[in-house]
Amino acid sequence: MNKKYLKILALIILLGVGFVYVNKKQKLGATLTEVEPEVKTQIGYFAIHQFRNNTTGELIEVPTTKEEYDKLALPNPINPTMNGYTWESSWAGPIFATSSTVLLDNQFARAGKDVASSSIVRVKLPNESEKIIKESDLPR
Amino acid sequence: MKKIIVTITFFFLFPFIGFAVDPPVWVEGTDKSTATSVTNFTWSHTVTAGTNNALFVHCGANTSGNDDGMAITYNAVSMTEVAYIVLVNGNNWWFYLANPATGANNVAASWNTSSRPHCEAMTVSGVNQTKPIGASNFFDSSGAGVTGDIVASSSNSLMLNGLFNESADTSAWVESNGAQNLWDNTLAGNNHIRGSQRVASTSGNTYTNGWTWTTTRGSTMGVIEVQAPAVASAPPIMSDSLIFE
Repeated sequence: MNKKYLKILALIILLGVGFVYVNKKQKLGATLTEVEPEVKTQIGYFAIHQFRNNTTGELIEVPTTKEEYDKLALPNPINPTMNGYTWESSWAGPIFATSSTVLLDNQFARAGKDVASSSIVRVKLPNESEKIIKESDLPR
Repeated sequence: MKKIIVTITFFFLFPFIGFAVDPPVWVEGTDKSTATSVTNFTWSHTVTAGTNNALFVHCGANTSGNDDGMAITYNAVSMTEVAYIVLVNGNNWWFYLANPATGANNVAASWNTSSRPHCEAMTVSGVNQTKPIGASNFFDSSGAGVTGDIVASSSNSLMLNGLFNESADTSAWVESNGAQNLWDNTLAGNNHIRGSQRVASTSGNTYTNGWTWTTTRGSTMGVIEVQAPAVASAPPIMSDSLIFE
């Protein structure tokens, strides 16, 4: 075969491989989105009564229920009492359970918020199982 | 008869002479803080009987960026929020309630994001019951002090200044322009709340409020102008028949 035709054929093959590679990289990089690494789900409430010791001044916290807490905001409430102590205040807040985010196709999440692990990401690409890679290796 | 006519004529021509009002007076306060990240906070505050009472509550927290749904009740009655301003170094809220119930009742605050607000409830007497708040403004700082101007919208008003500071620093706190300290609470978690008052005597004048301290930390300051009752009007004019009887 003529060397000239061989060169043209090699050039066509190189261009074809390059086209496929570039096209694949652009498709992945263009659709990747970052999501939060963890999801918080509220599973209940906690509530606390705070009392001050009448002799020592020491503050102590006594757990209660959200239902009891809510009654304090009603007119003419019966405020908490404890022998030898004076009620100071009460507070309540949500209790959360934390779990890792389930990644969908073309999503990635940082493995952690601390500096040491911030360069590690979990990524989910189409037709592949979730994997852990360096952030610098994310398809762009 | 001549005296009566002269007196009536005098009050008719100069109805405000002799009816200047006193500025509102800060009566009592209760400052409290939570110990963990919460969204609800309740404590008791006593309002003693007085003339033209109003209740004010100031809260600060190291959340920022939005009002966070802060709502406060006293004795189950909703308090009114002073116009909120977005700050970057923490949140700062003021609420008020004219003619609050007297006696010991609970203040209940609730908001959306788990955080550690620190609050003070205070009773002020001699307050304009239809418009308790005149001017108000909120200020930010990331340095070793915070300062802000406010223009009094009425005379003989009382400026209340509530500070939230992300520092336990208790040294060398200096209130601007001789303001009087009201509450000063260094809290667990390196937070600090302070409050002060100052009488503004002239409507339209600019008053500078603030503090300086030694630690460079994020701070927010909210200043409200508590207005005195409107100037009393002249006494009722006697009827013609009475004047000339």
